Amino acid sequence: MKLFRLSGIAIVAVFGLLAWILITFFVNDWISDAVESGGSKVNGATVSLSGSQLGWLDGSLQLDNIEIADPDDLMRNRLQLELLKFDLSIQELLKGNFHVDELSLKSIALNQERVQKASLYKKNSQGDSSWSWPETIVEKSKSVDPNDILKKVDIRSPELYQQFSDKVSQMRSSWETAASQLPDEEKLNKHKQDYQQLKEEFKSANTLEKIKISKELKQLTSKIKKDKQQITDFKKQVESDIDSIKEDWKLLQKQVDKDTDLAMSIVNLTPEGMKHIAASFLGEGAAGWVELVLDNTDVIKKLATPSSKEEVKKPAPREGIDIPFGNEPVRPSFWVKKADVSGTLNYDSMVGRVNGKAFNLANRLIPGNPMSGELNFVIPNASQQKEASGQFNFSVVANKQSTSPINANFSVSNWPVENWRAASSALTIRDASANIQMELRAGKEKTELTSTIRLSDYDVQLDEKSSSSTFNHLVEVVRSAENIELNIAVMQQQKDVEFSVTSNLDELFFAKIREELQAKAEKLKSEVKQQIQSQVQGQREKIEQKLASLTNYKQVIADKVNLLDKLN
Amino acid sequence: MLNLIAKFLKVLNSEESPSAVGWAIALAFIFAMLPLFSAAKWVILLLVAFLRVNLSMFILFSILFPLLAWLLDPLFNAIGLWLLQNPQLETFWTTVTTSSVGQSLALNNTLALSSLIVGVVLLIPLYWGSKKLVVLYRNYLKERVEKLYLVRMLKATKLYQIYQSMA
Repeated sequence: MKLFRLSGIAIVAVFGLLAWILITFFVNDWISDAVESGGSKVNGATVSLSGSQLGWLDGSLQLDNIEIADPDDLMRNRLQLELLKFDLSIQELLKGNFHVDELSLKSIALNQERVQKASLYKKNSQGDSSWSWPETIVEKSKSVDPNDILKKVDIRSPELYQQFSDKVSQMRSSWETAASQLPDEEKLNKHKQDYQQLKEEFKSANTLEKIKISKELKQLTSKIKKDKQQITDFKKQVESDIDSIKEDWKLLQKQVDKDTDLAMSIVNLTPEGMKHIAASFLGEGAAGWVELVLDNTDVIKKLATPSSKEEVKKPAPREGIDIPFGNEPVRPSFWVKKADVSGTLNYDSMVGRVNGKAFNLANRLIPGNPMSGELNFVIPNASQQKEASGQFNFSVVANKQSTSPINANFSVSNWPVENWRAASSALTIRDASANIQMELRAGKEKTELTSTIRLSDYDVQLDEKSSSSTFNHLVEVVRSAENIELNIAVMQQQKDVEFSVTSNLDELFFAKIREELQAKAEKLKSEVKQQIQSQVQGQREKIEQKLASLTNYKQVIADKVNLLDKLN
Repeated sequence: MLNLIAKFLKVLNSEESPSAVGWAIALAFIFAMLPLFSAAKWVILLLVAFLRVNLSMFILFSILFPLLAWLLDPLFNAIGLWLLQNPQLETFWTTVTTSSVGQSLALNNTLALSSLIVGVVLLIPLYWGSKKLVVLYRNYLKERVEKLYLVRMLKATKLYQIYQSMA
């Protein structure tokens, strides 16, 4: 019997040939179509590429000349890439993991004019598209709803008002219990009658009888004194309780103010409040960047602080568990081992060069393989024939001991800024040259973001609708200065966020804006206070009625004491 | 469609010796037990195509054995975990799993390792047992089975008629 089956060898060869023909002549077109249609749906406007090449043996995929149109301007591309190449691990793909050994991006162009008009595509209705996040965030941060704030703040007024009302009722009830032990009206009247009777008897009695009556009178007076002492002590207790409860009532009424202040401080200190302020001070773009940095820092912080117990994942059926040996790390499900970008950088009509590398971009940190990256660009004739350059680098290490496992630096010099709308879009700084330095340090407990923006060689324009003496004065100040330097600092420690903006033009520049914001803040504060007051209004009325009845009670006790006073 | 399947089986299934059937069942067992990401699975497939094993039996048992594989998954994971986490074998596994062959076979994976070991250990017993069963069947059971009502029903189906006409 022959060992080999010739027909089997022939069929494998035919299958191989068919697969090769399929990949060479059809699959590349299918991939291009899939990327174009899928990308267009996500982007909301045309995504096109000139071709794709699938390496069927090495698992590589190359996409050529990708153009991503801008849905807001169909004659422009928001991003163009000359080449995007993935080297995928097929074995990991069969395990359900997406591991890219190398990702290459060649030549980036931003905001470029298109030859043909792009088409609009209906966006996926599920959630906000990642492309539109800055606009969405800024819209959210512009409006602050008092009801939303109150939902986030632990407003104690209604609860404390209820507790106080119960306390007053309890006090009244305990007084009534104590009062039931006191000599009642009948007993007091009997004392009065007995006293008057003994007095009468005393007048008409002989000496011996007078001695006896005197003794009885003495005994009665002693009883009355004892009763009086009991009532007086009770009266003192009631008076003291009333004084104390009135004091508490005064303090409680201030709780509404405290809650209002708390709500307002939350507005200013939470990321929402901070974004609101950032949007008002620095403009929508800056607010969007603050949001981007903070949100992504939170995501990366989760990666950088692995749980104390190394979790052993329960394997999915037919998946098994990977055990690392030697220098092999525990593999995450998404892992780009190395990414590099190089080539030209086109931004509007400016042309420069870009290069950068990133390592271990993954959905979890890999011990011994820090996530890091750097990007450099140079644009020779960017702003008024000056060279613009920038650098971005970051690192994330899996180290529980490190106080700042996330570090990032971003710097740009001589970057041309065509329009910067600031101060709630009242002011536009045009044709400026910007030097930006941003530093991020984030640890488990603290995130610090410091940024310095220096604008020079600019022109200032005031929005006619916003024209007022304040803004006119502001424009004068900005025009007369050689440059504007803004220092922005954000510190997030657990739930507390501190946000500060200082400038070399602080005295004149921000004083006026603060005045404007102050008025808005006062209005919001009054709305918040009204909301809290409406929540406690019912309880307040009940408490006031109860307090009035307590004062009446005090009068009843005082009358009893007066009655006994007359018997002495 | 049935015609096509019958033609396909006829072209490939010209060997019907007990050995060919035995090898088909044994190889189908390893093929079914191995996970997709182990290169050994694809090597087995090529072996089956190139070598004279009974293809019908291989296809049939490749459909049946995965049900067993799903049931045995926890056992395979436990065996693999015990082997890979055995401190005395750590140096050995470090050498094996970092080699290119070890990586292709995904030997650092509990399921890939244990299913390969179990498959290799059971290969010969399965081959021998299956072969014996085929001989026993042909000698003692074939005639009785062919008289069964169910078998007669099956023989009346269109697929069987096409298969017979091609054989």
